[in-house]
Amino acid sequence: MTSNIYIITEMKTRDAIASSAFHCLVHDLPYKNRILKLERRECWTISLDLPDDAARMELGLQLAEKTKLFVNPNKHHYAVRTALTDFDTRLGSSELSIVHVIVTEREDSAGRSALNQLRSLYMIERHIDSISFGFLYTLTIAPAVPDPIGLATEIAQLTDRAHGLLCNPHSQTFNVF
Amino acid sequence: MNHSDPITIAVIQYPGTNCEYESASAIEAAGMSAEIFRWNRHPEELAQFDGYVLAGGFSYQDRVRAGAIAAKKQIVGTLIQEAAIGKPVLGICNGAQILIESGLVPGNRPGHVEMSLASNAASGWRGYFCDWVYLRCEEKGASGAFNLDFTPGEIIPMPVAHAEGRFVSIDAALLDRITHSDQIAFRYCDPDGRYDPSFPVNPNGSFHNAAGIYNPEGNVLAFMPHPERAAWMRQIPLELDKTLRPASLNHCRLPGPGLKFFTSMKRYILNRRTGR
Repeated sequence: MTSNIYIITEMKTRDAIASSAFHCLVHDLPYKNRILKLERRECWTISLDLPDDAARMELGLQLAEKTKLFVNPNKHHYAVRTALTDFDTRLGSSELSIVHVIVTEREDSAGRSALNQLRSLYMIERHIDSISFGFLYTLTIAPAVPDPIGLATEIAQLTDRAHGLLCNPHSQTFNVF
Repeated sequence: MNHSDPITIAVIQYPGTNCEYESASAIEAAGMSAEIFRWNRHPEELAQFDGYVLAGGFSYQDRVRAGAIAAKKQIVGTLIQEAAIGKPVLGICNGAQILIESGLVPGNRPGHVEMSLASNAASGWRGYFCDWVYLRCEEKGASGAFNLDFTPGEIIPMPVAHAEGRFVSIDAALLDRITHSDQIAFRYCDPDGRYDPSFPVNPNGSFHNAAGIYNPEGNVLAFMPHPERAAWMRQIPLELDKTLRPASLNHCRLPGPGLKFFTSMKRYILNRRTGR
């Protein structure tokens, strides 16, 4: 049986991609006053055949700290999680909705490359079934929005110039949660 | 408009565009006038131009996706209006990515984004690729605005420099329709004109070896190679063009294959003025 562990990295400096995406959403697209904040992180989803959370967490920490594939300590903060739902978003108001969107390339060469390097460079093969890489966007949505998940889905899925930004469905997939 | 009025082309410059001056040089070498047009000028000023070039580079540092932010800007809305009345629009490399992200190309369902220029994924190569490749001018795309001075079947050397140049779509019916229409004007090939889907002939894994795709009307072209970097023979590497050896100064000054994109654009604009 396999379960996932997540290595999540975040820029120590201001994330220019998140700033540009947010600016685009509120100035070029019709989401002003509905989306209040956008954060971006990089998320490595590692599928492991380890039985319990403690063992997975231990291996996840080793991968994050002992290899140079996932975390660059000069520029990243990082966290290792056994689930994405316990992700701390440092909310200021309980009325705001926090919705996450994870965007992954259909041809996930970053994940494949990381797996190959773990096997060839670090000789780590046991317990790791697969690795995928994605961008984890965290949207803070205004209390007045009746369907935050629906709005996040609309923002994620590019359909035309006026709707969607984060995921071009022809080359990427996304998941909202 | 008088047939003899000067032809003016706007070369759109976003933050991060880096090929605007070479593009303007190629436009002027083709006998037109070029003006570098910053993205934040009033979009209505665009209407005075006869045609448009979205130059290569890294608009908005390729943030989110290559071309994704630039495609949302108001200036692209005006470009869509001008393209709809038949004016020619050439998107080179990052410009092609902007055209795809805005839905102008392939444009079979106007307003909808129907494709993506995905990360290079050729067999045996992934990631950024910068080299000279060969293209074949398709017979089917011969009536397009940027093909007029090419001979159908002509094989031309052209440089590519991109990491996201693979034309893809999840709409299999669309790909089939494009493949059998006049929209694919240029395809990657070997020096003898044979199509091979594998690297390095197809440098990015693009479907049907597509290097350039038109909208259905043939006046908007999303083109991944860089014609402005092959506008003079002196830019063509010796190993690609044996006629340069021994290189004479006069030969080096001759127009290269990339200039034909711009002379075709000029011919297309003149044809429009005379109603041909």
